[in-house]
Amino acid sequence: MLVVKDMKLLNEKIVNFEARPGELVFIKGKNGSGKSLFLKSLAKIIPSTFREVSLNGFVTSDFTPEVWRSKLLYLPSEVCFSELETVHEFLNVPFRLNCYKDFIPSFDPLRHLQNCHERMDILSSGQKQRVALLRALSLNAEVLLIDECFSQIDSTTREWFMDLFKKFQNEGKIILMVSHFEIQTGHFATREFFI
Amino acid sequence: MYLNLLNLWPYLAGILFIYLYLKFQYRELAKEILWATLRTSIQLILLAFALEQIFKSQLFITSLAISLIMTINSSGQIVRRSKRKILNLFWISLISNIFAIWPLAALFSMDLSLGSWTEPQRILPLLGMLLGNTLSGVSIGISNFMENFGEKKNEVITMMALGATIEEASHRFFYRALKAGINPQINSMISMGIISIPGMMAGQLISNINAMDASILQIKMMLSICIGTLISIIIALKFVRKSLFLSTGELCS
Repeated sequence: MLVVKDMKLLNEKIVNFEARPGELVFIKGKNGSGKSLFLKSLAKIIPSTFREVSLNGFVTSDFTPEVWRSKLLYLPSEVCFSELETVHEFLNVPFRLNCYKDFIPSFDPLRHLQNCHERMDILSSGQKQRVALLRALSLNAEVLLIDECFSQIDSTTREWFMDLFKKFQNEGKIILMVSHFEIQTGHFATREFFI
Repeated sequence: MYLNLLNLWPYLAGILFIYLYLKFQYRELAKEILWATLRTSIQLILLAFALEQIFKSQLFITSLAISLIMTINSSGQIVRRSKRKILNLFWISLISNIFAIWPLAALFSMDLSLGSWTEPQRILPLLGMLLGNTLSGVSIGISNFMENFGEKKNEVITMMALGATIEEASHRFFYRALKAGINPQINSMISMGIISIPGMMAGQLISNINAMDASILQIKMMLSICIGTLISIIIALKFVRKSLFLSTGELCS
């Protein structure tokens, strides 16, 4: 259960929010309303003040910022990678970090990629977003904070990802997603939240 | 005693000649050259007067006081050269200079003049050389770090989002800044003796000092500058990086 009480964002907006395990919530709102600020504040990437932010009963101060961020994984729309980095190297970046030292991924993104030896910079924008999404899914975070990561992805792949998300929802993961697309998700534990 | 100053006339005449030549076509450049000539001559003559007085004292406290003034000036220069406003940059530079350059100058002075290393005449010239040479390295390092951090903030956000610590998230920028700051020093060490003979060594050779002794002293100086520049850039960058994040781990807004 993710609980946010009286979170004051950098744009002075105050947000109260709750999500149950397995929920997929679309964060909606006008441009500049603070959707991305909300996701980044939740992941403790930018500062905010709040009365309570907790995940399954644990508050933010129970963890180091790094461990908190690995539990609530924020995925920005712009895909950043190093010069000359291959897809394979890009997927392995997190495993060089301290907080994933002994981590065994439960989901292998390579099963869904054929171009793992290609360089990231020659992939199309949509392909880059696809690889970044798969990398995020492989990290086994409890909450995924997806910030307009479907902007360059074609509708077929989008549907494929939505199906994949269902599997993660079944495992009790929470997904918060900012998307300007009207995504047909059926009736599967989804709702909208307006900022 | 100050008749020596008259020896400067051929050099000043040379500059005056260049000034007159440039004055008609490149008025601005000519003025700048003249201004720089006046500045360097007056500043160095004033320095000589000041040093004569300072060197009369053999007290450690005099060395300490003048060292502090020199270090404060050097830190002020780093702040003036910085294009971006960085919180506490003056104090960051001061601390990095004191912790990196002062011990080196002390060790160097002990090596050269064991018994009297604390005297102003022994330690201040060495401190001046070290401070002057590390100044640009620290400036370049900090500017490079801030530029990269500003332009590629998304890279930092991506790394933070993956669970990277502050050090891990900014590792690449830190390395690039360190390299940019120390590169001029590395280049000068590589070209040393083949392309260039530094001012200090040239001065010693002209004063009839044994070439090997002059070389050894120059090597000591180059290595000290390299160590000093590296340590001060690392200390300064660590503080600058810390100032970009909150104590709770978020990026400063």
